[in-house]
Amino acid sequence: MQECLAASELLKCLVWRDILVRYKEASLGILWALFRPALSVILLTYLFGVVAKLPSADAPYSLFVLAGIIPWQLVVSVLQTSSTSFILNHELISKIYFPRIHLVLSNLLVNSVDLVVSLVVFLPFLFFQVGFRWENLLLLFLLPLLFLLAFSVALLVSSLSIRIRDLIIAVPYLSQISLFLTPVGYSSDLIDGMGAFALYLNPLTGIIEGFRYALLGIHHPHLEGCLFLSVLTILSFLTAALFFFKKTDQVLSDVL
Amino acid sequence: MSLIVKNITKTYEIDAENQKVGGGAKEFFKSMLRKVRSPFSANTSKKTFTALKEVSFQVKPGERVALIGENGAGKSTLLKILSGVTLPTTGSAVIIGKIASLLEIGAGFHPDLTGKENIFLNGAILGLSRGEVEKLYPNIVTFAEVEEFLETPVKHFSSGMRARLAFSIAIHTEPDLLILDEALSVGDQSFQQRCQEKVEWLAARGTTLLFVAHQIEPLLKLCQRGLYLEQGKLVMDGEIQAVISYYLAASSKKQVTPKSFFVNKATPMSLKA
Repeated sequence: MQECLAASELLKCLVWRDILVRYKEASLGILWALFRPALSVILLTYLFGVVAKLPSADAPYSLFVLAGIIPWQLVVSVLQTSSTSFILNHELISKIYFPRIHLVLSNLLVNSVDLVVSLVVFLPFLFFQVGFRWENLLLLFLLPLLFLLAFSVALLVSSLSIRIRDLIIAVPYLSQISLFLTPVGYSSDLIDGMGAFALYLNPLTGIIEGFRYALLGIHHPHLEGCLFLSVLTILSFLTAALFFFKKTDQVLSDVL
Repeated sequence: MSLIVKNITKTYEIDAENQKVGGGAKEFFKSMLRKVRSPFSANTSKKTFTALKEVSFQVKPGERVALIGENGAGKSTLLKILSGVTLPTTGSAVIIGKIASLLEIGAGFHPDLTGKENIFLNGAILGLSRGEVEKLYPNIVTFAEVEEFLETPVKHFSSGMRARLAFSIAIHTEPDLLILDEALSVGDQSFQQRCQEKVEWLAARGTTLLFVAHQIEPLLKLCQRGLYLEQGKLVMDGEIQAVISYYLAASSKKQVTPKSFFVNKATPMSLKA
């Protein structure tokens, strides 16, 4: 019990350390949490909504994109930082004992700060557009699911990248193309056939379409199926992540 | 007992595969396939290196023990296992009470955080709550003599300042077992003097001290007991004076017959000339 308490104290400190370090020397500081999604929304709205004139089911295209950007941003930032999260803390790991999962959790929590800031600022826009509705309550299911996904991704990537260092090269590329592999700027019902199936295997697809339903009332024809697949893929990610983390944890300081 | 070490053996895999250059495309793909298929399974082509061989000893509370041995004897590996940083391949170590280990000066410091922020971060790493660190904070700062630099990022600290701060945090946590790896050799004369007093004060209060240093003098001053490690084996366990003279005798014998390694290295140089 006491060890747990001390450990949560350390987690707090690690999160606070990473937040401080992240924003301390940037002159715009925490405002970056808003700039990044805002700029992406403007860009994607222009490209997909104005130039390509894709449908957004009556909702303003910018809000349609925003509902996708918010969950996508969390998972991608976690993905980007997790391949090096053990390697960058190499000194700490090889010289000091503490539960290593704290590095994964602190990575998740630090990136969640951006999510919370953007939710607090952007949610009123969404509510203002469509008003409160019962579908909003779906967020109570979607947000924990999103965190579970981000946690699984962080744990899996950080554990595997210790042994398969290729991930350090592959992950930035993967996060680069993830904007196209995930229906952030377009609706997933525009795609059919094998492409659609591949898209639904992406656990973010269900979450994003769920966000669009919860916030904007856009009901994707296969929303329930999408969400079910998301839950399945997330659970398998989590299982694999826990399995590999357990293996990595035992040898971490020896192989780093 | 405050520390019981039972039959600890530690072997490391030496990754010969990655060092091999020009193994041919076939070899390369083979090894890649094996890695992707089972990234965690032991690789049969790997050589192993035994850093510690069946080391056992016990330490009573308040004892001050020095680990002595040449480079590569396994001292740091042993301290790493005791700190929990790495697991022994076989055997076990039981530590009773709170442990603080300083395997490397300022390992827990983040260069971009200020001295003050790092004190709280390191306190948490050593298992203290924020309240406890707040209570110890003035003592830590005074002992480390870094009052003027508390708002300065640690990356601008001199190595002496960094070492003093790290040491000061570790000893102020008042652990039951304090592990120091060559930590006492830092700082100037007056700081070393105060460190020694503080360590003696801790030992008087029942803190067990385990430490590694290559300088003989601080070992003689601080420790009562010595453990002599040679190539991973515990070859001598006894009174500090006796262990040190054994160590000195063993290392002077080595100096007469230089290792063939150095001789081989020198040959190409003379050929060039």
